[in-house]
Amino acid sequence: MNKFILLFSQSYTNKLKAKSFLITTLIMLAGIACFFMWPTISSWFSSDDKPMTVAVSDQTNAQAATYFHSSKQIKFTPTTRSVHQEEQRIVKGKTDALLVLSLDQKGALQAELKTKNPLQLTDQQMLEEQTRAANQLFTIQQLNLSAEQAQKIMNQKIELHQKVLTKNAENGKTSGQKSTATLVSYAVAFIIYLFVLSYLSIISSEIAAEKDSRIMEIIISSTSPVTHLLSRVFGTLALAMTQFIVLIGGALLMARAFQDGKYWDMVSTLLSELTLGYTVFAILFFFLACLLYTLVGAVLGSLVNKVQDVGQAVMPVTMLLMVGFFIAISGMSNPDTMLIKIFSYVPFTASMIMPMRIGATDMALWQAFVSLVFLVLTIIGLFLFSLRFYRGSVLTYSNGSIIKKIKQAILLSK
Amino acid sequence: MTLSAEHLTKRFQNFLAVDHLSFKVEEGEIFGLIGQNGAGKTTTFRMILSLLAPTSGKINWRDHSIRGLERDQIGYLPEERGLYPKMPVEDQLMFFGQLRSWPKKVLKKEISEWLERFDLIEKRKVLTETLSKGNQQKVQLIASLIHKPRLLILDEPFSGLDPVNAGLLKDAVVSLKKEGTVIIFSSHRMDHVEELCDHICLLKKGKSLFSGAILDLKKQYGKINLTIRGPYDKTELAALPGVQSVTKEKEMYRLRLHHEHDARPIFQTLAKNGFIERFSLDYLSLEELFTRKVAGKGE
Repeated sequence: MNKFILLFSQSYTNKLKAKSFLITTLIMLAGIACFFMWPTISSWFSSDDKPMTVAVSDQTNAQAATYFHSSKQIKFTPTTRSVHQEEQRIVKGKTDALLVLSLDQKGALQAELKTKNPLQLTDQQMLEEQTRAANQLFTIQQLNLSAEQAQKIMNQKIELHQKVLTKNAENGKTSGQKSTATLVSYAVAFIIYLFVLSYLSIISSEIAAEKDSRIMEIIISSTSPVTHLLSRVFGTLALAMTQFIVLIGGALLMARAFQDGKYWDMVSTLLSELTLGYTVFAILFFFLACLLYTLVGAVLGSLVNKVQDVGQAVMPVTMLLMVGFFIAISGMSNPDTMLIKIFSYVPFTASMIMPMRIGATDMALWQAFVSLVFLVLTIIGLFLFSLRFYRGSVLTYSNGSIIKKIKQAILLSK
Repeated sequence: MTLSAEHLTKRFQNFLAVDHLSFKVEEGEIFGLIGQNGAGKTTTFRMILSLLAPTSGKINWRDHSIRGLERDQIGYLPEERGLYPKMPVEDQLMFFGQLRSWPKKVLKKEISEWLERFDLIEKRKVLTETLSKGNQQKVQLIASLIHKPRLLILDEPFSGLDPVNAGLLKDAVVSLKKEGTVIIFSSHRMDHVEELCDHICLLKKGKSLFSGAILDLKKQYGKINLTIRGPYDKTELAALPGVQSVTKEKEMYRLRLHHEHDARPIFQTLAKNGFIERFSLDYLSLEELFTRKVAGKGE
């Protein structure tokens, strides 16, 4: 036990003090800070930008131009000049664009935009949005409704309440709850992807380096290989958890500090919409995914001969991770597909996908439990399997495929 | 008997790495395991370290299985540098000492003493990777013996060391021997083996060609190395009865005899011509014995 603690703390503190770890964590914190400060940062760059000036030539005789409201980005000015005169002004750069409003034969509003150069996407989208809103208001106006009636139509929202008739089945979640869970699950999947990807290579490089330099032989001649394996796995996991806590803690602090706590309110609303079951499962899946992949990384690290070979050895696992992540992304638009269902049970991808299913679909919780059991069994199985050849694998320096090396390692471990 | 191997055999599938190897090492003795690359030295070391289990045969420590010997009582210096490159020298030694269950406080004192002894005290805070190869080897050696092991295994300890540092290392090994440590080492440098070892084992493809005292091995061939300096001719010397070969090195003639007893008649013949500046009869050097036995020459 003493040696485990010694090896564990050596593994943990060495990596914690490593410049690469400190720099990565700082960069990530800076990234989070940028995210929270984005409105301020973007205002630094855009404050000098003048709004786009759009002359509105209203030829409808129905005061359609009044439905266009100026904003920070676009300034609408009704004009009485002729279209030709305005076009000249555009060419000379006095105005940015001309919006010509007219009515077609059926009395529907028509809009034509004239500019010197093609518009940027954001300006284009904003103008389209304004035109659509103006068209709605114009149409309502044509129906001779009162302002209140018009307001009612514009702001009408309806929520669909579900009632499931099957006994024992829970009533469905609201779409609001589902989209919150989808968003959070996407974040969970992304964090798992990011963490596992970096810690997978950290642990395999660490073990490969120890094997390459023969330190491994000294260590396992003074303690059991299992102690070494576990100390490296838990040392790496502890480091991952440290980074996770620093990043999440930092993010929460920043959410409180920046923008007068606007993001903090958003976060608390978001969290309040999550159920306890979801939260527990998401944390369990996150932790177990880290454990599983760290173990895989340790085993792969013990099988390669040189640190340079680590990248190649972990490639298939990285691919597997990517598959899981992309399937999780596909679940953002539709979390009920068969693909998602299948991969939510596969231990290597379950962690990224199952949380989404728990939150964004109306599946029963026992399914998540089954997936979790699969994951735990895989970890136990992999651990027992790796114990069979770990001693041998750290002493094997032959070339060949991973399978060949495993066979050789099992033989050496006997 | 402190350490003994009896019919130690290790087979990897179809490859026989160690074949019925037997040897004995007493307390306070240095034992040399000599052989070419792939002779089975590292495999033998790994079996002594309990990293590998023998296919058959056994290794005993004080008449009980070696597995009963506490791991903290063993010191091991692997052939390649087994050090953390990014760790300062002092931390490195502290780690290896603690790994053998030594308390930090005691280690601190030991580390200072050893660094002083090996002229590394100024490098204590320096990252190991910045040290020269020889200095790294010294750190590696300190790491393997800082916990005063009862059994010390040194795999090629002299590689990369200049004569001064090799001398320092030899002194350290000898002082450990005096304290009663059983030391096993392998080396390609036969002069070091000859100087340090009490007993040796010559390995060839996993098989022991000889195991015992160096002098006993030498006696097997007798004193057949004859060195002569005087006004002689190479062909004249080669024609003498009992002479196998003659080589001239500067002003010295080196004769290889068939048998030790051939030397006396040669002396008498040469003495007839007058004064002999030098006439010395020696055993074969360990280097020559190694070549004969292991490389199969002259057998």
